[in-house]
Amino acid sequence: MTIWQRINQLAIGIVMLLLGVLLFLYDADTYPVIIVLYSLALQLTGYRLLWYYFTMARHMVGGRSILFRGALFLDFGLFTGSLLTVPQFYVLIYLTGTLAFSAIVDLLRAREARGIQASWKLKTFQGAVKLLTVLICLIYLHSEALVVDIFSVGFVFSALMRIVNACRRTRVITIS
Amino acid sequence: MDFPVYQPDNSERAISLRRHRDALAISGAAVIAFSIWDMIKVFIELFLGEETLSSMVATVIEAIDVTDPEDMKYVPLIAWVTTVTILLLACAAIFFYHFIIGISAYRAGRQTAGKKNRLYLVLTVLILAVSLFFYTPNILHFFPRDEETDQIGLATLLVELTSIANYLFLLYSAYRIHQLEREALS
Repeated sequence: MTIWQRINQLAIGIVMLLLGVLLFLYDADTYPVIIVLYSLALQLTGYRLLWYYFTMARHMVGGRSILFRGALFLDFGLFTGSLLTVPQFYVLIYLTGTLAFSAIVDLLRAREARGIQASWKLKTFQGAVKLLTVLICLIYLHSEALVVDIFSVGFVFSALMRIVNACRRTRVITIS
Repeated sequence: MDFPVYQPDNSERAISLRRHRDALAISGAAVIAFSIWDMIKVFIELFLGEETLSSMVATVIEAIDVTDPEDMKYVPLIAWVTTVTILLLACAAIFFYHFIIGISAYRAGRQTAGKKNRLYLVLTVLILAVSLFFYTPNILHFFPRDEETDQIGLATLLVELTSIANYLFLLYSAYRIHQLEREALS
């Protein structure tokens, strides 16, 4: 990771930590904040990609995919922003889905790291805890108040892991 | 030791051909991606948006008047099943149409097509004409900016314009490839 990536990860981790604590304290009132932040992040990605396309990627081989990706991200961001009126329970299901997805990604990356004798224990632990959180959420799906609390604990955990990973020293492998 | 080194043909024409083939493959993949995103959006809007599927079905149920109250039990069920079936079939048909264009363009661009296929170009021209027919009023309506025009409209417009541009890119790339290949033969 470069220094900018570290700072980026650290910032995302801190925002997620704050959101998790807010979610635990104020339950459902935090949903609009989460949706607005998510939509803003997607829109910024979209604008950045479009800017990149029109200033540089236009001249690259295969650069046109940047334009399509930018348009889709922007649309997804604006569309997410328009979903403020949806039943809040769906938002929770959606967020749980993203947590499950990131758990699976973590587990797969840990498996890959194990294959090349890199450090894999922390990643496996992270993925397993996230998956466990999702499972407990699914078990208690009938009571919304409980699910929000369990989910916020999982959210805070994943924020903490992100901060830990950003601060961890990584070995740099140079290929000569 | 002699390694068999790949010696690419870097003439002007070969470079241009590679570029346009790559562009064609990307345009094909983008056609499929846009189609999938449109489907997802339609379903999210119908189930979570303002004008939901349930309200549409409710108007349909109201329009049908059944005299016998005994039959009234089955009307909602039948209305729901019919609406959802029609919706799914329409979505599947539209997706299949885009999928044919996308996969053919992708294969033509990556040169993995079994035999030469020109059908997808005809399909692209057709869908381009249809999109222009349906979207031009939207675009014309949008540009003298009213206060009512919102961000969602802008995003939809952006995606529409991008997909129209995508069809044009696809046709242009296919045309240039055709031209360059014919030049190479002669």
